[in-house]
Amino acid sequence: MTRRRGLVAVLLSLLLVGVSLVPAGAQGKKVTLLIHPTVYQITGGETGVIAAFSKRTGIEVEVVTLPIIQLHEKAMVEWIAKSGRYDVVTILDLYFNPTMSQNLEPLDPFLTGLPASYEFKDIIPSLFDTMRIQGKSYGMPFQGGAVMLFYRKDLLEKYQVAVPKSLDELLAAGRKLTAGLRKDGGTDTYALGVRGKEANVGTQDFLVFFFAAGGNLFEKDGAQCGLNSPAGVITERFYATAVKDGLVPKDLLAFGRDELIGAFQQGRLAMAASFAPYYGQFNDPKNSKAAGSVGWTVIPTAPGVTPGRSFKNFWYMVMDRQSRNKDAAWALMQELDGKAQQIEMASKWSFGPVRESAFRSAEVRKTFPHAEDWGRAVAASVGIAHAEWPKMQDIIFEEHAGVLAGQQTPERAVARMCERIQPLLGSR
Amino acid sequence: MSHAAVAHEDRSSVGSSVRGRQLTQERLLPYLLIAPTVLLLGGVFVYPALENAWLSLWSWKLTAPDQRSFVGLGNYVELFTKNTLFRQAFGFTLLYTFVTLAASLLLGLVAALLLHPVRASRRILLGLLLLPYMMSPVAAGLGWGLIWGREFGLANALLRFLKVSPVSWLAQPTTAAVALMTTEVWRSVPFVILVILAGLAAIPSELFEAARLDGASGWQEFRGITLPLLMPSLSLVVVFETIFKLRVFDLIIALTGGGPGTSTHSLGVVLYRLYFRYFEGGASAAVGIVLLVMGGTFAITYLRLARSGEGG
Repeated sequence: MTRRRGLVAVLLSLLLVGVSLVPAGAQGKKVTLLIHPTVYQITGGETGVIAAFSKRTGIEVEVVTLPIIQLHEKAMVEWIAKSGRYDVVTILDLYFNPTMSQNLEPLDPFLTGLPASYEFKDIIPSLFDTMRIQGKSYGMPFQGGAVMLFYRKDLLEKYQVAVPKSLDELLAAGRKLTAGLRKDGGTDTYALGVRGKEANVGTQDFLVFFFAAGGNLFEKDGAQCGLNSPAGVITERFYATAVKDGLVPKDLLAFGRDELIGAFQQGRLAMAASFAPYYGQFNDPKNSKAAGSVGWTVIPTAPGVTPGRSFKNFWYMVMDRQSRNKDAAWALMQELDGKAQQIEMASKWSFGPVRESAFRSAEVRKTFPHAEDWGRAVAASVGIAHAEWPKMQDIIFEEHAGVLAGQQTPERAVARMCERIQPLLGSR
Repeated sequence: MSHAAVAHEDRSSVGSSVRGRQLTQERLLPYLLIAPTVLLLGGVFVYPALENAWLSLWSWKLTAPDQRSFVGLGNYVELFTKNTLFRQAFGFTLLYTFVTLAASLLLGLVAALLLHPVRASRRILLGLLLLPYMMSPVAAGLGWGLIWGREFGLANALLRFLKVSPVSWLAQPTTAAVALMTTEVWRSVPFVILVILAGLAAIPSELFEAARLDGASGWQEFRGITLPLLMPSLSLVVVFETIFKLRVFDLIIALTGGGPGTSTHSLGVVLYRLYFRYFEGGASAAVGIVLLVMGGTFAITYLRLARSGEGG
C-alpha cells in the first residue's frame, strides 16, 4: 500500500514537473479558427503563417474549414448558442450585420494597444468602415480583393481581340472569340465564364456587372432598392445577350465556383470575371493549362463609370464575445494582419492583402505583375453588408437565374428583384 | 362470531390482499417493462415533435429570440398562400416521391422476380446489389454529379457515342429533375429488391405447383398468387420509401444544390434554407410539421389500404 502511494506521488510530481517545463505563455493556450478552405490555403495552409505563429508563440491553433454558406451558418448558430466554440472566425463583409455584432467582441480596446511598430495605419483604413457599428469596430480586414477580368493572352492574340474596356467591347470580344473558337472546332471552349449554380456566386456575378454598369444596390440612404434601374437593365441585357449569342458555357446554371476555376485551368475559358486572388490558381503551372498566358485587367464598365468599378468582397477576422482565449485570439489576428505576413502570403500563395504596403511591395509585384490594377479596382469597387443579405442574395439569384435560363426578360427580372427586396429594407 | 371463523376470515383477507398485491404487480409489470422504451421514445420523438408543433405557432427568429410573438396558424397560412418557393417545393416533393417510388417499386419488383429463382452466386449478387444502398446520399450525389456533367460526364459520353448531342443535364429544370430522380431510383432499388425477395421466399412453393397442375399461366400465377401474397412486403416498402423520399435533402444538396434556380428545391431544402440561412425558427418548424403530416397521412392510408386488401 505504501509502495503504491509512493508510486502515485512520483507520477504526480513528474506530471507537475512536465507541466512547468511548457513555456508559461503557451500553457493551456489554444485558439480555434473557423476559416474558408481556400482562404486557409492562401495563408500557406498547414505549413504557412499559422503554423509559424504556433511554433513561435506556443499557441496551438485548431483550424476548422467550411465552405462560404456553411461557414456563416455554423458561426451564427454557435454564437447564438453562446458556445464559444470558435475564438476567431473569418467572415465575409456581405454577411456582417448589427445582429451578428451582438455576439462579437469589440476590437477597439485591442486596437488602441497596438505598438507603433505594427504600422496599423498601413491597413487600408476604409476597410474598417464595413465592420463598424455605433462607433465600435468588430472586425479586422484580413483578405480579399476586387473582381478582375482574367483573360487568355494567347487566345486574344490568336483571334486578334483587344482587351475590352467597356461592357459593349466585352460582348464584341466574346462574339469574336466564340466565332474563332467554333471555326477551329473548339466546341467546349467558351468566351466568358459565368456562374449560375449557387446563389452566392450567381449573385456575385450579377453584381460584378451591375456595379460596372454604375448601379447602386440601395438608394436613398438604404431605404430604396436600386436594382430596378437603368444599370440593372443593362446588366441583365448583357447576360441575356451573352447567353443568346452562346458566349457563355451551355451548362452555366450548373457552373459554380469550382467549375469555373476548373474550366479556366483546363483551358476551356477565354475570359472570366473573378476575384483577384484566384490569379494564383489560374496561373498555377502545376494545375493549369493556361499557366503563363493569363492576363488580367480591371472590369470593363459602362460609359461614364470609373474603370474597374465592380464588386468588392473582403474577409474579416472577428472574435467571439464568448471566447475563453481572447488574448491568444487577438495575438493570432494581429499576426495574420502583420506586414511581413501579409506580404509573405500575397507573394507566395496569391493572398489578397489588406495593407497598402503590400500592393507596393516588389515581392508581391513579382507574383502579381498587375498589383497596381488590383489596388485601383479595390479603390473603385463597392462592398455590401445588410442584415437580410442571405434573403436578398437568394432573391437576386432566383430572378437572375430566370434571365440566364431565358425564362424572363431583363426588365421583368430587375423589377421583380426590387418588388421582393423592398419589404426587407426596413430591417437595416 | 367464533374464533375459528374470525381466524378463517383473517386468513382469507390476508390471502386476498396478497393475491391483490400479486394482481397489481402482474398488471403493473408490463407497464414497468415498457416504461424505458416509452420514456426513450417520448424523449427523442414525442417531446421534440410537440415542441416543434408549438414552435410552428410562433413568429420566432433565431437571431432575435426575445422578439418572438404568437401567430397561431399564421406561419402555415403564409407558407401556403404567400410563399411561392414553398408551394413549388411542395409540388416538386410530391412529384419526386411518386415518380421515384413508382420507378423503384417497378424496377425492384422485376429485378426481385428475376433474381428469385437464381441460386448460384445469389449471395454475391445480393451483396453487389446492396452497394448503392449502403452509400451515403451525399457520396451518391457527388459521384453521380460526375456522371451528369456536360463536358466530361459519362451520360453525355454515351450520348456522343450514339451520335446524339450532349445535354446540360444539371442546368435545365426538367433534365435536372430527371437526373436527380434517376440517381434516387438507383440508390433505393436495392432496398426494394431485398424486401421483395424476402417476401417471395415466404410464399409456399406448393401454391405454385397446385396452380401449374390446374394449368395456370405465368401471368395468372403472378396475379393470383405472387402479387396478393407480396402485399405485406410491398406495403412495407411503400410506407418506408414514401417517408424516406418525402424528406429528401442530402441527395439534392449534393447533386443539384436545389437548382437550376430553385427548380429542384424539396420541402427539406426549404426547411434548411428557412432555418439555417434565414434563422426563421417558426416558419421552418411549420415546414417540418407539414412534412410530418404528409408522411403520417401517406403511411396511414397505405397501411389501411393494405389491411383492407388482406381482409377482402
